[in-house]
Amino acid sequence: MTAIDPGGMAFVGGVLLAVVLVGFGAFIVGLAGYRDRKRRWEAALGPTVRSRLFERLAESDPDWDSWAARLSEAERAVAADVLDEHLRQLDGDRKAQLVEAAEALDIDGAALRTVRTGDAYEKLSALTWLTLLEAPVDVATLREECTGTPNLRAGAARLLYAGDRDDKRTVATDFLLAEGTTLSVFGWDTLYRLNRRDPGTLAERATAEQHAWSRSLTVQVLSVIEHAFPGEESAPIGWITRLLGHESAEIRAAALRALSQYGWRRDVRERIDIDGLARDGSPLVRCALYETLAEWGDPESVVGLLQAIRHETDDRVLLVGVQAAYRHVTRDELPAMDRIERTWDWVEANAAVHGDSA
Amino acid sequence: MPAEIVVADDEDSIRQLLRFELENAGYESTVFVDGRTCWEHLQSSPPPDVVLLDVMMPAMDGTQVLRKIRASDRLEDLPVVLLTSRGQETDIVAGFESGATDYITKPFKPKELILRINRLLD
Repeated sequence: MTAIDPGGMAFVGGVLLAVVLVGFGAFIVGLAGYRDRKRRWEAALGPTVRSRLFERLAESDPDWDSWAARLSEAERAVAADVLDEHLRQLDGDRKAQLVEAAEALDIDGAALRTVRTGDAYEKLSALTWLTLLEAPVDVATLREECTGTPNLRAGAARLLYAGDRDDKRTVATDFLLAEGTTLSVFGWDTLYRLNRRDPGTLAERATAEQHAWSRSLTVQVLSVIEHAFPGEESAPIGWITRLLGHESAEIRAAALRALSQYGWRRDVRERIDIDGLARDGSPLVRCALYETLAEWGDPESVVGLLQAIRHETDDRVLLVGVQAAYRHVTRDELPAMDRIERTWDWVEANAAVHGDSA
Repeated sequence: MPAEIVVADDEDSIRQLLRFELENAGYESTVFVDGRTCWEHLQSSPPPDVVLLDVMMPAMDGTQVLRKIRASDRLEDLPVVLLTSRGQETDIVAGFESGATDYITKPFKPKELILRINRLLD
């Protein structure tokens, strides 16, 4: 048996490694070169494809099918990019024409197929296309294919929001809240858009399910309630007032801010323990209390606000409190305390500089 | 002679789209990539009939160009339409405070844009 020379083995291994590295490097350089050439080629095609598209738009019968049939593979890719840009910029009849052009390129069909077969990233891209085209997609398909990640759920909800289903608010909200976990920023924005005019559905969901939500989702939903149009008088808000006693300061503060929309309801104002909240250990909560009382602005709330800031020990929180009071009272109505009066003078000077209430 | 519309928008695809829509409606358009070059043109050329300004632009934004137009003896009466993104209501308020004649939000309806320009030219 021949003994294996360790030095020879190391040499062969080194050569093999070098060959692999050189091959990999050449592949990367080649791929980059190919992509760069393709990008430049497509960029050169762009103006022609765009001007042909515009020519068709100006015609009374654009005949998109024959337009699409005459495009080469590369031109179709460029046309899709051009449509992607203009579909975001246009509305009305012209957008409807672009949707027809996209359908002639089978962009909607391809996107639907990708929703069923693609990976998460491809599905997101497909959902974006379907949303731009406001294409109808059945909810069962979305439930089956687009609930794997928060981003996919948000994409599916956005598609439903763009569509014209009568029950889109309920169904899309369901998509977003089903897992009870943090929403992506896009999902959060979609939840707001869905519920901003009538947060009743959201409030009902929260009443039934909030206990199972993560803290961050709870804060996100409270923030939507804060910025949405106030619900009807019968809208459930018990779930919000309960959260004023939550162990998380972030949730207590968000609950207070959500209630700032409901100052017109006496029952809501009466449920708030102003003295207790003014003694809350969290500056976040006290800031929210002062701003909410100022937002309500009724005489009792303003008296409560002035009482609360008397005991404020944190200078930065006091500033928020005095800024809130500045919206409703004059200097003479302030508690006669040096700290408060000095803060008032600063708020007043600042308001004079900025030309509005501080 | 067709009315001349000056357009300033930093987004190439929007510039091309606006040029197409304006020329398709029978106007002549002159487009600029930012507020500064647009302002330089306005200072050195005969006044156009309408100016369309994107609010968010590099070098000089639409509101800054608008203020310069309103401060100029030669150009102060020019109709100026601001282009702003939907949801940027503060831009609209600031635009009117600076003397904008009208505004259009993006995404926009070309028909509406042309109707508004027609009304300004009437």
